[in-house]
Amino acid sequence: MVTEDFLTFELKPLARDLIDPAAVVIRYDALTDTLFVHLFGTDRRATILEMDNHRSLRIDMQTHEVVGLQLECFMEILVPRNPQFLSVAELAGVDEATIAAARLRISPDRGKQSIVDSIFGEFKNDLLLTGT
Amino acid sequence: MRCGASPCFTIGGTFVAEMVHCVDLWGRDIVLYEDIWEDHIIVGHAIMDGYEQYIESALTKPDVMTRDADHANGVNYYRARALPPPDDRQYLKVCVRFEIDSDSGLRSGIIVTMYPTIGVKRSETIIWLRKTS
Repeated sequence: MVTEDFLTFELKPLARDLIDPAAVVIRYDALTDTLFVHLFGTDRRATILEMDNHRSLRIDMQTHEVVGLQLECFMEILVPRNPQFLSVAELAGVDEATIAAARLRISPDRGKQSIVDSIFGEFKNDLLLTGT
Repeated sequence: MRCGASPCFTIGGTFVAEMVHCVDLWGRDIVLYEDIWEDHIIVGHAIMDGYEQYIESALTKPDVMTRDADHANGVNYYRARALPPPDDRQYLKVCVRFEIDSDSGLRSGIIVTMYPTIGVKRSETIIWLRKTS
């Protein structure tokens, strides 16, 4: 249940199997350092539900479905904090200089953590690795 | 750099037309440039297409003003029910970055983005709140 000032509504859970990767549109806005992820193409009208300082959901207020994501301070803060986002930045067409600058802000520990996360992600269905 | 009497600026040698120019509650000039509207705001928030006429009321008659959590020169203006149906139950949030104008020495702002939002972002500091009667 989302309750904000004068608006209360039930947010529909996001069903991952309904997302067609081919329809996903990822765009980066350098002016505001914001990454937009349109999960069902760019035609869905979306209102922003801010989850925390940098992460927001894009909500279709007619259906109360999550139709996308909005990540602010993407290259400045989120990519250095989550190095796995570097590939998203490349996919979104962020220029090389901005990506290089973000790489420099990734601490060695963050970089290693990202590698460990990737390995666990790759082998998550195998019995060799357990844990979340 | 302001380009004479016409409502435009030069950015990187190209002329950029002003789309909205108004004065906020504290007497500061705020401008929305056409290229920012078309190349940034509409691209990220297609829902705003056709809502140009509602921008000014958010700046001149906001319900809440906040200091941006990430940009020291950023001020956000929120106006409840600023948009027509079906988007009339949300806030319109307009994000402005302020600079000191080198010509006049006055503080002026440029709109960098805007969108309908469910509520005021909790990480922002409220600097002005409309008194309820």
